[in-house]
Amino acid sequence: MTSKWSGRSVDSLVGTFLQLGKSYPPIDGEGGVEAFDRHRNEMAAVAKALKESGSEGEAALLSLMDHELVPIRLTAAQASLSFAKDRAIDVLIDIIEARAAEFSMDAMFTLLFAGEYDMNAGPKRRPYKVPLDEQYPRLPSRPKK
Amino acid sequence: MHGRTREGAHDRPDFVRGVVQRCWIDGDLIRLWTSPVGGIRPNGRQPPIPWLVDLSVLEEAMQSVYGRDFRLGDRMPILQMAVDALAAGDRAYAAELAEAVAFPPPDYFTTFRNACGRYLSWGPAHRRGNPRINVDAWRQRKALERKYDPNQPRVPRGHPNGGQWTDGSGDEVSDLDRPVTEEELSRADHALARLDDLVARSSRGLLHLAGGARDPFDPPKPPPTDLPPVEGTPKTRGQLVRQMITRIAPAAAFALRRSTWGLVASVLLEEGFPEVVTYFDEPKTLSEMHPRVRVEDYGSFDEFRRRNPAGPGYEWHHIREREFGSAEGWDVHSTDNIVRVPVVHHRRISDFYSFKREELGGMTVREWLKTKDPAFQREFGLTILKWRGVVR
Repeated sequence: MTSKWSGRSVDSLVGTFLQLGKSYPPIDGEGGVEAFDRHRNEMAAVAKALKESGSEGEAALLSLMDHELVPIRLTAAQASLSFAKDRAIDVLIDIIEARAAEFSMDAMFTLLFAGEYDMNAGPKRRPYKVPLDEQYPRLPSRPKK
Repeated sequence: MHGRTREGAHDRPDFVRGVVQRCWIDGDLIRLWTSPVGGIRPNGRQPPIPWLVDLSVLEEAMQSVYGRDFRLGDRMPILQMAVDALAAGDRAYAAELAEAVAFPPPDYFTTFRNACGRYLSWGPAHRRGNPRINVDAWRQRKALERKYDPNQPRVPRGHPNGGQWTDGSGDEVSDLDRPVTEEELSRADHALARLDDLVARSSRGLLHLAGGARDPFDPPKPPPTDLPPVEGTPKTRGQLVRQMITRIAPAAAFALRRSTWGLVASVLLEEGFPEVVTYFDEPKTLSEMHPRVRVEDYGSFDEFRRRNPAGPGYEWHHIREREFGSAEGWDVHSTDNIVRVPVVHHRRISDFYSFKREELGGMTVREWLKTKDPAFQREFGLTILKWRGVVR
């Protein structure tokens, strides 16, 4: 199935994607939830087109996962799940743990569907956290006299 | 366990660490009632410490009595504000500030002990199975009581929001979808100006409304990134509320930890924005959120809601959606299924259920959940509440 975004250049897709990510309509705005949801699906469609445009598009998605805006990170991670699973899951877990409102619920739902979320225990795989011992290495114990 | 038996001593929050338990205005003095570090005295009684004119003298005196662990440090700026207010003759404001000095939010230990008290039958006998009061909720309720007017009109019976408070124009207070009025806009400006004033009056940057943390060892956590803020003049009350939430979120992150949230909340409540206050509620346990009465005892859910309004800034929420209907052993209108949640969170949860998702073949989340069994529906509803930060 071809969407209206297929066949576009990667640069133009990234531009559109960023523009959409920055111009999210308010969820309680004029169009209400429907407008918000349409916007969300539109962004997902662009991300899908990016993914399908080859390795260049995939690379673009990977770099978009570091963007400062949560919706951009989220959508990029959702689209990257198929080819960069570990990285995408890390990003999704970060969004969940930042409690980024609608977006964290969205991320949770994505993980749930990817089989990476346990409703009782939370995300099955947590991002690697530097253990306390490595952050603050213990001083060597004082030599006994 | 000597000295732990006296009834009443446990009713006050944070008796274990050295904290201010009461602070009140007595003539021209501000009196403090504190608990020492490491537990209360055998007789359970602590003499009130009279106010000393010089705050540094007071702090030194308390630290010498209770040790360096004494936690007055956070509260000194508020005490300073109270002194200033008293000197300026503003007794009501001083009393309010004095109240904010006491009752810090529960710390880790308190939370842990309560959990043990509830689930492992550990803790003082009268607390077992009896969750402690939520201090913030208690303070908010007090503020609401001051504002409560029994003659305020309610939405009439039969209306979907029957029983909710109304301003008499037919719109319920918590209706976020209706167009915002001029009065609300000016009230919002007034509320924000009052909050700025509160910061200006705090001698040591108590609320940090503008600048965020100034204490490098104790930086407040960044507030949850909500949806992009509304630009320009808000069109609906919901947008106005969201604008206010994003505006005061940095302050809220700080004030909640400094137990000065009561001050911010009282300003917002007086100006008529309970939704903004309740948005920042600490996560609660389910038992704290269920109705205090049995919903099954009422003829219908509407009847229950009419008799028991959730209160300003709150709405009754079904963990398993209403639309899923009742199943064998899963009454949708049972007390177990109904919780009182902040109105903004309630809206966002409903919105999420309405999203059409590609993973579901274009179905909405609600339609998809309808195909699942009731146990899954409930579990999913609870998970959503957790991720909204409503349930802990």
